[in-house]
Amino acid sequence: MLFELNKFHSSNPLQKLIHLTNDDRQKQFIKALCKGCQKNDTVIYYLSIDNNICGMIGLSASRIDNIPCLHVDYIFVKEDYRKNIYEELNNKKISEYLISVSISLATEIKEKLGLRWLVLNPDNSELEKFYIDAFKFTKYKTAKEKLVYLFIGL
Amino acid sequence: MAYIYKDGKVSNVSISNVKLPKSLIKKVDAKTETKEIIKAAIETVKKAKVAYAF
Repeated sequence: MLFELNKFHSSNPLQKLIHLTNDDRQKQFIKALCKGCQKNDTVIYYLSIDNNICGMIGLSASRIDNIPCLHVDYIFVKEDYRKNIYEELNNKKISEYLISVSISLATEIKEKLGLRWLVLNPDNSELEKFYIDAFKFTKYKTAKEKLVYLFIGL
Repeated sequence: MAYIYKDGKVSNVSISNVKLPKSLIKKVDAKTETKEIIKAAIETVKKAKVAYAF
């Protein structure tokens, strides 16, 4: 199997990504992410296996409480590929590999310009548990919006 | 920019206005076990048999 990581930036890759799911909720997230990509707000890194896109992660530069961070805008793995562990990905699942890519990129960026944390907002409590268990994220939940934030200090 | 799903729609939420407790900031900055996690993540990317096309 051929694994390849590539990226979309300064473009709207909606036509290449929207077919990855039939779920309306996920389609809406992908549409929003693609708009962000077109506006240069986010860069979408995508993993292909044998030229089929199987997962993606959208990354942007942001600040939270004035702390510079790399924000994981969205992470998605095509349903057929979820929970599979791949020897080619150092015996990791695709989601774990994509988070590892974001951490690796963050450490590279940190050497070039100010960056202190990696931040993500988990989509549900199951994913929240997975991120905390696998990557030791620290959790914070806002009082007003009840939005969960997960942080890693770089 | 965070995306949230509410009332059947995805909308953007700016994270820059979020105020964090000082104790949480200290906790994130001081967490030593994340150093190992970062090291392991970098190793994963290095060891993965993935072609990087950018």
